[in-house]
Amino acid sequence: MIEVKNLTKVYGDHTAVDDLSFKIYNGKIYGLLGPNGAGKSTTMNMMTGCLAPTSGSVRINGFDVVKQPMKAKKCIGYLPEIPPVYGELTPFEYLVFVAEAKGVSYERAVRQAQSAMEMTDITDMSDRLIKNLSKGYRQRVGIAMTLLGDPDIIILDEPTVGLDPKQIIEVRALIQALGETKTVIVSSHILAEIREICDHVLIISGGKLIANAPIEELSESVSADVKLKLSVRGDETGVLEVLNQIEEIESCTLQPSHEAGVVSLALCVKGEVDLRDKIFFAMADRRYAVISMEKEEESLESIFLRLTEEAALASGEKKSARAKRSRKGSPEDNDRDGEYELIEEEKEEGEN
Amino acid sequence: MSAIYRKELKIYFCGALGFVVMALMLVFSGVFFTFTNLAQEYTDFLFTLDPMKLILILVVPLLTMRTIAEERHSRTDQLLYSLPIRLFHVVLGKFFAMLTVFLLPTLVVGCYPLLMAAMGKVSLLASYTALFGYFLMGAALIALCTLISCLMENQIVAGAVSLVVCFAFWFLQRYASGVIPGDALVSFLICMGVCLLMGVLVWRLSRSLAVGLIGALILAVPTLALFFLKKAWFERLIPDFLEAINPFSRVAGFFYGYFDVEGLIFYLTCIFVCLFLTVQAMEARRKI
Repeated sequence: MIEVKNLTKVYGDHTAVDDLSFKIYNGKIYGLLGPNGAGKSTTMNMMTGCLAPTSGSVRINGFDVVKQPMKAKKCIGYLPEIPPVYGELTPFEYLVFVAEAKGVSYERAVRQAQSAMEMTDITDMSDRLIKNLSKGYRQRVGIAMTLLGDPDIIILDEPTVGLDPKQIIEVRALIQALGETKTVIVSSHILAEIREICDHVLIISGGKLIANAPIEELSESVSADVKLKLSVRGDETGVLEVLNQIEEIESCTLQPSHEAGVVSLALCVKGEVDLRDKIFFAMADRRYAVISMEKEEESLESIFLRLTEEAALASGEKKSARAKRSRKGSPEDNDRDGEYELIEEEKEEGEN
Repeated sequence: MSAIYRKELKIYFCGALGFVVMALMLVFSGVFFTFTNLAQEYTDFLFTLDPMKLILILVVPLLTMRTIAEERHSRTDQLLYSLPIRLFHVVLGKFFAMLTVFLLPTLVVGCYPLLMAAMGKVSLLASYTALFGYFLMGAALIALCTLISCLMENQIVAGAVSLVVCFAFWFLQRYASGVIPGDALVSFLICMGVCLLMGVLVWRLSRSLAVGLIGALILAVPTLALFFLKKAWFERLIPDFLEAINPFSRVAGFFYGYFDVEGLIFYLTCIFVCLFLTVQAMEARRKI
């Protein structure tokens, strides 16, 4: 398990990571999502001991990365954004070197290197110099390196950057296979990738954690409103009249329809009420045929965009509020920002 | 540490660098040995070793330029930082690998006195003491250039800076007395310049001009007082100081044929300080 507490990294006047706290539990694939420059790589570098935090702590399986670095680092396999491979060595030599550096005896290092090469499908390339390998194979060598020493946690920083589509599919499949036996943390700014391979998402923006939830729960926890897409055969005025009689419907927007005599609508329902039955029977009473009706799940893309935009806005508001306070000496403002509520709720849940 | 040592050796001998370094040392030592000891029948091994000091100016930067600078440039330093291995072991592993590449041609050169002994009367003890001193000097320069490589991000720049530093030490050893006047006033002015530089360094590090000024004054005031009270101390201060810290000068005792304990301690201290600073520089980069 990884426990990150109040992790902060400051470069001069710029705060790259700002008071980050979260826990990573065993046996899942975690996605660290955020726009470029959000602080994903800095966070990963601090989690793996490559970078010392300005303040805060990271504990890996109970070992503090700064105070007990040897024990903590033995529990992790880390692949930075650019695979740290030596072009002058062959994949086999490189993997044996890394395994030995992790304290594995030569005979075991050879066995582990061979097994890692088999798992990442680079056995055919084992005798070629790494500098002569393609980017995809180098990436695989990097992933194979993370498996050496049998660590519990694998941390991969943007593992699919620069790969062709076929290689991306292969690397994603490999990560999913790793996730069956180990805890994997993958950073990415590609939403589709995170959705495809991860069980749990941590969204970082401006160095702050703005969401921490399983993917399926994320849309529910972020948005309390339910959206419905509805197509009804009937006249527009009549259909709207029926819908206006249902109090729980917050808004109703007409959508372009591709079929003559069919009204398409997007409904926003306040709260977590399932109105599908009610709408169906109300339409049936007026002899309007419901052609289709589906609950619209909010996509990860829209959640991500909304959260990051809200975070940016909130940080702007906070800055201006702080500036106002410092100018006027006004009492502290008690307004809470929407994007933090999710994290605060989770913190409370954790405490309970 | 052994994993780093073997990896470094593999890298030296997978590419041409290790062989180039060895070839350069062997070719030049062979030429000097042939044209002095063999052709002119000199029995003193110093006729080969003394000009070989010049080869170190080329060989040591070649050997050390990529060692840490390239790790930084290719981002493989992130692997070293994330491995459960101490940075001191990383630096030691690299240092011993470079020392091994340097030792191999030195061992071949060590056969030359035996060749001479087969043909005439040669003081083997004096010859091997001198060779030991030469090896120590090379080791100290390797440690110094490892530190330079750690401070640079580009191996070419690291190589160029190392070359300039080695050449400066060699040049000062040969011509220090002619280049730097031993006059007390000149020594005093150079000392004041150093105080000023230290003040600027403190200013840059602390980002406070006042702290920088205080730092410079703390050093400059006692220097000024010493100059007026003990002016004689400043006579030949700079040339003597440069000679005392010059790896090329401290080998003289070994080259005269006696086991210079003072020289041995100097070289070991030099190696330790340079490697310690290298580790500190790597550690500091992790904290930036």
